[in-house]
Amino acid sequence: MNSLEINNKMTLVEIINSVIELGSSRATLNIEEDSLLFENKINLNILVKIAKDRNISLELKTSDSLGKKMVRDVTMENDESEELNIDRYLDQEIAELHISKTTFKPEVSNKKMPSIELPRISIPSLDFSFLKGNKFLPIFLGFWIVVLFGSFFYLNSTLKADVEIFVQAERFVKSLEVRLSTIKSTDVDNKVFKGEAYIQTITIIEEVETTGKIDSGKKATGQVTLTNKTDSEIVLKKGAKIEYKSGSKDLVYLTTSEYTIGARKVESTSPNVYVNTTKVIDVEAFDFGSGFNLDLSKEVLLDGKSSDLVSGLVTKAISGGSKSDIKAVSSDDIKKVYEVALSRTRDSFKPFEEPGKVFLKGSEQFTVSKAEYTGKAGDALDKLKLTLTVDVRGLKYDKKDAENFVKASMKSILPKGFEVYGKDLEIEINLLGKTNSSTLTVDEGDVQVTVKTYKIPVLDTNEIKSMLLGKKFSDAEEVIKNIPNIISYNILFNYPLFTSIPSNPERVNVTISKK
Amino acid sequence: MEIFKNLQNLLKFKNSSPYFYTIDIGSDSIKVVLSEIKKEDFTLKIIDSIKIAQDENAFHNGKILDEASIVGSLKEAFKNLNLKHPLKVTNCVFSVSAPNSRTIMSTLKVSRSSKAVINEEEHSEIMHKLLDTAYSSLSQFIYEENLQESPTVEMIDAQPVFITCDGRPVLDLEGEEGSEVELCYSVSFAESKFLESISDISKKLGLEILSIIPASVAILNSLKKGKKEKLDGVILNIGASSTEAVVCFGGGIYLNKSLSIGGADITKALSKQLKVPYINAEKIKRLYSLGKLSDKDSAIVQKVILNILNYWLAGVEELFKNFSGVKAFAPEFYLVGGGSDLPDIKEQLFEEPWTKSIPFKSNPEFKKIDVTKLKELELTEDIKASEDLIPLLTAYHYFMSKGMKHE
Repeated sequence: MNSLEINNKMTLVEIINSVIELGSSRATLNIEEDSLLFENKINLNILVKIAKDRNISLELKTSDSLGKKMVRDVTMENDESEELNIDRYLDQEIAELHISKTTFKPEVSNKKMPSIELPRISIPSLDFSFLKGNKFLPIFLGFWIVVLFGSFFYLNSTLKADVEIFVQAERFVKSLEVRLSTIKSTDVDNKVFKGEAYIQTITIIEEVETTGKIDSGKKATGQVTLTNKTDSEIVLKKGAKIEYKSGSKDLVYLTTSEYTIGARKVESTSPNVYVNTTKVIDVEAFDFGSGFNLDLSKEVLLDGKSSDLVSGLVTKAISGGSKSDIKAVSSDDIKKVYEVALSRTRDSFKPFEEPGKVFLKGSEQFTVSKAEYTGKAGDALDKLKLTLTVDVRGLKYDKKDAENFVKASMKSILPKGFEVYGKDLEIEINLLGKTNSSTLTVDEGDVQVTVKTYKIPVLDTNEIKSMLLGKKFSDAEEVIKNIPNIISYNILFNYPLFTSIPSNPERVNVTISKK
Repeated sequence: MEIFKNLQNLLKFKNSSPYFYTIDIGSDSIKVVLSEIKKEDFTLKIIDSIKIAQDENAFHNGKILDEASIVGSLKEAFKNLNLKHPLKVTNCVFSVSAPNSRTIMSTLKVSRSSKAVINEEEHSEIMHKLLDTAYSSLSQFIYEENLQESPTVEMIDAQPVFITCDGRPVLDLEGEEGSEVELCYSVSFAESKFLESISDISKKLGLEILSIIPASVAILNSLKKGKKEKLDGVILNIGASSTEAVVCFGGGIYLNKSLSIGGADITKALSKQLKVPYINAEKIKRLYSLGKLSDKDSAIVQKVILNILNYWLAGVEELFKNFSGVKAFAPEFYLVGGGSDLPDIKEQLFEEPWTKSIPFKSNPEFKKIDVTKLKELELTEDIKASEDLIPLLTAYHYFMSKGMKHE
């Protein structure tokens, strides 16, 4: 394995490059304190991710106190995301163990460590001078040796050790992508969670000021006298056009009723003398405006006839024409009131509160089922009102069902060797939205379920006990220190002078306490 | 109450000349903008700006390592500006970005026992509680990021996102009546150590600090000015040594986070590969951005850039994964900072499949920051590079929020 020294002036890119340029599949990084890698876990994660993408296995070593914890956290987080490939898993476990040996020192609380105190025995000062030259001396000594050995064997055979290991509960936050479906049943393995359809009808009334304009006013009226110079009778229908042309001025008037102008008459023959027929016609201007007012004696024409055939003259001034604009509905107003109403429906949408049910925010979809306007384009209205009926469809779920789903999923999302600690299980369910890779329909939606809880390692007390049996105090400490996530421990003996763990499992008690 | 006193201090102003500097300290350069407040027109005139190359050992990854060097660079900048514009300038505004500044959105709901009018004292109490909540939430985030407990930060800014009283939107709680009060603020904090350093630097330069403004807040407020108030989007500030992602919702900053890769990493890589000094590598990078290199040279430079961008993109993906509590990111990306001028950044950011692993409401798209829409801003010359935007918008934000209240 190749080793790299990472000083605290190296940038993240320099560190990544040095790992890659090493060209080895395994690298040990000795990271100086205050390295940029320990600024936040993101930097460390990027390094580990890029190394992993290139099949480089990293061992991270540091004496930085926060750095050690971050290295441990990041190593474990990365283990979680791995596929369960047994060989690789075992390999990583060795790597992790190695890291914890070199970098992780459990905090051993002074209060928890037993202070071994000898019992205070008052020993009288004895005068052994009488034994000098005494023939009972060997018997006396032999007696005490037997007593001492006997006591030792007795104490050793009744020695008991209580080992209490304190492990730390760690914050565990994990998100998983789940399909919330109203048409499928809950299926933990396939990450499908049964939801319900949310249906609501909203009616909203929106009003806007109209911005369109239409012409209004009075049409000029008057009389013209038409003279028929032909041999045929002329019948004018109501609305027949009478025109006035003068330079650029081109005005049109319409007859207000039906008229018949008789043909010219022969007054005498040889030679023929004709008398033209005239008719006074009431006319009205084609449009509003004073521009249509026309003075007396102006010459006018019947539409389609030349003045040689039919001549015309204003015989009663065409007057009274005026024009003004009034507000009316425009097509933009119709579009605007619709958009405003729909947007207000969306913005003000608040789902009904149902006990035990949670509406999935963002899943709402709006469909307009009815739109009733108080006018149409061109109608002379100051305001346009719209009554909009909108059907809202969305997704909701049962809070209890969500909890059960998450509980059932915990086994697969918790890292191997961990269990949930305590009862606090915080669940957040958020919609992922509609993207290329996620779905959102009225029936189904991809959601991100975020679980926040505490995890704690599952420790097998029997296994730990078997590892401790017969160990000296210092060796037992080493065994305990290598257990992940421990923060402190107590080893208590019933006889303070004995500091080895008994070999008999029945006289060793191992308990795990969680913090 | 210390945290609330800080907020009150933010709202106090002193008489000042109309001229002020806006200072943006980066790891490879220091940028200074000289502005004038024209009260009669209600406009801010940007008189001039200058960029001074900075020794990389003076400021690195948000840490001021050599105050004397920064003071020297700033003196040089002021001297150059003074030669062209002999004005007496005694005030300055500092722009601060992540990792030095952190902003978090904090919401507080208060149920009152009566509908009585909210007086100053109660208002102070509510604000204090809100700011306290903001600090606690930020501490939790920081702990999750780097296991640091009780971070030593100070509040530098608080921007309201919404305030309601019995469901009615109100501008200020004081004087309102209601039993249910809800406040949402984006509260910004800065590293105490960094604040001490810039205070020392200002003293040595004989400048009075008018305000310390988070760059993210300045950018967001200028975007809101030109667009909608309830803006959703992501501001990506690609600085020299770091990239800051600022997630905005409902017109406020939800949270900002940063990673330690920026434009200077590309310049360093170019300097190493092409065996040229850093300053020349920076020029080559700029020419590449402007499309002024030959095809052959451009291909060589691009290869180096893409190598670093691969790391950068992996970092950006990791950064977004770490925004807990965001159900789906708004797809509008606003790019600022020197690094954002590289064409490859936009291509990688919006074309690569990384966005598939991050929940976006729709495919991410790049949005331009258009300062010409800021009618109160009088520019004397065009903005040449995205990195110039930050000090400029910081000056603008100061003017819009506090500048007119000098008297």
